[in-house]
Amino acid sequence: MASKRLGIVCKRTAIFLFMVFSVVTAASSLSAGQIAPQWEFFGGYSYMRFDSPPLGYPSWSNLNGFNGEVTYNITRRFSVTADGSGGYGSMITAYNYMIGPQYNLRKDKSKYFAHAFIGKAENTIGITTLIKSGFESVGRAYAFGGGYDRDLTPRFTFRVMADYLHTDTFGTSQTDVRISTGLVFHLGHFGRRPKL
Amino acid sequence: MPSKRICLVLIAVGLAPLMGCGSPSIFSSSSTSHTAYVTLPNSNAVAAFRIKTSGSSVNNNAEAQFTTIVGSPFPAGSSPTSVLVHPSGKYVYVVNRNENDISLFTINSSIGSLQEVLPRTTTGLTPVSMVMDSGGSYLFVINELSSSISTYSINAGTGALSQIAGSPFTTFNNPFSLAIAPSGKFLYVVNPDLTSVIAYTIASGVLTPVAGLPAQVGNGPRAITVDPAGTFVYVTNSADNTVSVLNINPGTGALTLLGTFATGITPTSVVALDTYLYVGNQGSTNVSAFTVTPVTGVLTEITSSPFSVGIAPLFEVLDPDNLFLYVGSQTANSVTALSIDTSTGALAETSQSAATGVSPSSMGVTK
Repeated sequence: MASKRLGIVCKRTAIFLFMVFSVVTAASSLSAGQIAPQWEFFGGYSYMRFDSPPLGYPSWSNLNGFNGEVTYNITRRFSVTADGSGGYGSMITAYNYMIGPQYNLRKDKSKYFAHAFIGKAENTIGITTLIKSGFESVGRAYAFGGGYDRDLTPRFTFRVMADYLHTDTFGTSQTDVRISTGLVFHLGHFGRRPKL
Repeated sequence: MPSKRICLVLIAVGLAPLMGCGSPSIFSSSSTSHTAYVTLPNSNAVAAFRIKTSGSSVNNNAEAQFTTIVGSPFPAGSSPTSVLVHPSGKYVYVVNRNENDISLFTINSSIGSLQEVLPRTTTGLTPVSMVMDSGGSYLFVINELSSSISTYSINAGTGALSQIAGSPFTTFNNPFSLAIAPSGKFLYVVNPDLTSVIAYTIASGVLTPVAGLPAQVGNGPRAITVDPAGTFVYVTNSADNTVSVLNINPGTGALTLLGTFATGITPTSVVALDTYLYVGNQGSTNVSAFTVTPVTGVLTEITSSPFSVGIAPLFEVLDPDNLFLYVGSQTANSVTALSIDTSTGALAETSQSAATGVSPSSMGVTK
């Protein structure tokens, strides 16, 4: 029990350090600003390391699925992001719908960002009994994470990001890790366009 | 290329949580896990738990963690009283006392949930207890009101039960508990109204009474078990507060009383682990632990025994790795893990238990 708690604390610390490191290093090394689009639409593949032991599984589960985000840039550095993801594994389906602030640091073709989300988790375990098929639970979800964008064209950006994701479903808590990658489509902009 | 370096560092730091950061990794675990199934007669259901165990058997340095499996409790028939897990780990059998039948469940290999396979298999009147041979080929069910033993062969591929020709086999009035020898050759039955153990030989599931008079034990025999070596039979005498030790004739299966030893108050359960014997005393809410002298069967109570469990133990089940003794209580509505020091046989209370909500009556654990 104690070792599990230690592992969770360690994970949380690592993610916190990740976020702090993102901001500090980027702020210290970036000077010129990347163009800031008004809207960003992200879609791509998502891998989730799902904390299924609290649900009775013998070990963690690997979920593959999708991740989509819509980001509205309020300023060049601050934005609001709505995040939705779905993961599918052995008898587990996990959907998360969250929204929250995002901080961005831009330089030329690159962008580093960190965000914090809160929202809803909808987890389903596909087991069948005499009276029921599929057990679903809806609960709170929150996430912390960040990532890196690299411009491919003025309209499209490649993105990779990682999140620590906490969900409360089935009367227990799950502490998951989600990694996503895909393309970002830009719509509208302020600032100068990058040289590509 | 500072941006490249930054990117690499960020990715590495971001992935650190996945690597476990030097703490117990989320990718691997040194612990082992089993699934446990507990019958809940008052809920007409079977509760399912995952038990993760870790640590060493020496100095009671082991931990067990119970997690309720999603979907639990799973519906069964009316008043499920006894549960058995097939050695393959694929099937669970439950006798439904008020319904006079057996439920067959398949175990979901991913999570351990149960799905019943209908129809249920008919038994005699008031089935209360059952045993299975170590190979998982035959199932023996005691029918208390019918005073009979129903015998079934088990389909290894589907788990389905087929009643053996000649079954049910008549036995003495109101049989209550039974045990099978590890060899699968002998079956022993006790009846609280008699002071004896009825012995049968088993041949392809067919029961034949062992010749001669039944072996005598104490008053109110309640629980019975055979030691893993197939040498001794132990019977708790709930009215006498004793446990009887009987020797098995390996050729005929006949029993010879070796001795009777004092226990706590109202012993209702007994399990044997190598040279140790654990008797659950429902009246004195503790567990008496003994070492067994080979050949003679003399029981010597272990230092510090009896071990308090704080609840009235109704049944005891050994952990497949022999790290724990799981004790079920109908008054506490729970199953508690007691760690076993296999070097001394001593038990130690742990803080680990599983709440069942209602009274549990029996428990089976996957290997």
